[in-house]
Amino acid sequence: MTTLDLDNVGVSFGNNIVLEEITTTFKSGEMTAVIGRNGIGKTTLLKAIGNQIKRTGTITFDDGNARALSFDDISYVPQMSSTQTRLTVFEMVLIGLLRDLRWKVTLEQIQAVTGVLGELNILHLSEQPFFSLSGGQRQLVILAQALVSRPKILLLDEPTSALDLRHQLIIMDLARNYTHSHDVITIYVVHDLNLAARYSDSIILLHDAKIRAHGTADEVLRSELLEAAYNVRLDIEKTGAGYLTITPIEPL
Amino acid sequence: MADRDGAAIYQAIVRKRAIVCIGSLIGLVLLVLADLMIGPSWIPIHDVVTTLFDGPNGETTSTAIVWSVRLPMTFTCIFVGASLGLAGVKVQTICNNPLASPYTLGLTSGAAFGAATAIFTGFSIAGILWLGTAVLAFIFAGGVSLAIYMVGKMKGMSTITIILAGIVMNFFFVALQQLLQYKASAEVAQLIASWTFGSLTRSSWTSVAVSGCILVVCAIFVTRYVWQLTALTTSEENAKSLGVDTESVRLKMFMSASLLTAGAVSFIGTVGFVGLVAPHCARLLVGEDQRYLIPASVIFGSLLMLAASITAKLIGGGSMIPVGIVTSLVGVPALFILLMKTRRWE
Repeated sequence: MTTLDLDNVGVSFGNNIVLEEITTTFKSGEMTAVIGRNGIGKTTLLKAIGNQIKRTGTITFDDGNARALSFDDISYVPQMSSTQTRLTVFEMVLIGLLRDLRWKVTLEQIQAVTGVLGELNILHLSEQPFFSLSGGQRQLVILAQALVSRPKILLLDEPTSALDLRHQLIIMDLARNYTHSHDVITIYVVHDLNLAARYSDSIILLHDAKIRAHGTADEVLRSELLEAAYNVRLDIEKTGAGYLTITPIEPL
Repeated sequence: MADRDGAAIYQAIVRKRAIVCIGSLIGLVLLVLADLMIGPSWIPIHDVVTTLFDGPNGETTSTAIVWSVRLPMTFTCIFVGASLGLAGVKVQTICNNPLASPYTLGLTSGAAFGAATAIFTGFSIAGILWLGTAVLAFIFAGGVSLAIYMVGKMKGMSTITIILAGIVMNFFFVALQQLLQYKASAEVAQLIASWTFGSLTRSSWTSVAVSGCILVVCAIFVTRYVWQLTALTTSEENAKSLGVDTESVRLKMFMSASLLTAGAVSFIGTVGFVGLVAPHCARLLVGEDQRYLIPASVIFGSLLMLAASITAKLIGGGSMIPVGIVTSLVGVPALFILLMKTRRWE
């Protein structure tokens, strides 16, 4: 089994401590949701893991050979931007292979792009300009861009924000299937606790710059933990299908 | 099956772009011939071609006109236009904003002020006046780039900040140049004023060699960064997530755009809008894959300059109207049309 170990990871911006004493382990084949209030450091945690910002502490990737994380191991998908690029869908996915691209694109690289476009059922959009796509289609393309390099660690920052219900399910199903079928470590930031309950093998709850809880949905999505973290009174129930549903009632 | 389909899709995308680049190259050759034909004395195309093949040592009048007067102007036109097109596509990409250009960001006015300072002070290097002018033009254009880059870096590289910083630089260096003109003798003030028009009559084989060398060096340099630049067209965050050192790429592109602008401005003066309109036209036709966008912008820059040169000769009667005036007169409505038609301006 591949693991990603965070040992005493911290991030500060000037005197502002955003994250401290973050020590935990992520396992391959698992989806981990990072939840918590706005501005609590969820995206910062993802960026710290993804080498996008400076941090303290150590992060060790162990795939049978314990070592520091390399950029090639990771695909980090930032929050969906309103980019108006005229790149086609094919080219958007192709630049996911940026580190290996030379002037001439190889047949293997073309095959990698068409393969992932096929997996995500968007091959038919290949020649469309990215700016002409709907929000849901754009997110699928950005996901394809992240997957084309076959990362061992997939970091998704609010992958379902601004998407309709159908596309939320499509994106999360794809991420889960990829995580399980390719045995990768997927960590995603999400605000929708119901999505976190449904699509997570484990959940991290951030509060006061630290990990308040890390465990299964049943262990973390408990009213006393969530009410303290969100300052909201809420109801938690289990549906007939076995999913936890969290309904906010009122601010505390 | 899917692989073959994918290869076919990719080929279809790049084939269209290659056709545009080849088509515009053919257009460039035609405009070169037209530019050599047109002037105070018209030379038939047959004579132009014969003169070109006979070389510069012929004894006909056409040989003297073509090799000593028109060819330096035509080649300067090609290289200056290409330089501005290349500089334009670089700054538009790193600012992720189609309003950015060497002209709107103040690189041109910085370079023009450097050139004006050289004229005002008679600055030369090793006794060579054009070298002093070119070096001062680059120093000031580079200074503008660095200032914009530093301001942008302090403000998180927001494209709005970069554009606003460029506009401020533009006003500042235009004012400085006006101050120089005010302080200069009537003769020097006239010389500086004529520099702001951008005239091809100052062309020579020296201007051809220098602007051509700068263009070739900068074009080779940028080929190393085509994919990083392509990634930058998506968004800052996306490019960073793909491993692009966005700050380093920006600084390098700003500095090479300064060199290209200085190479253009120090010989023929200020030429506006080519660096803005050429990449924009190219982007509409070939998209944002920089492997095609950069060559297309270079070719379109040359096409625009040649078209401006031909227009300047046609409407000027016996004399040649400064080409900078023509590019501005044509550039403004062209930009307005693009503004109305292009989705990215929304």
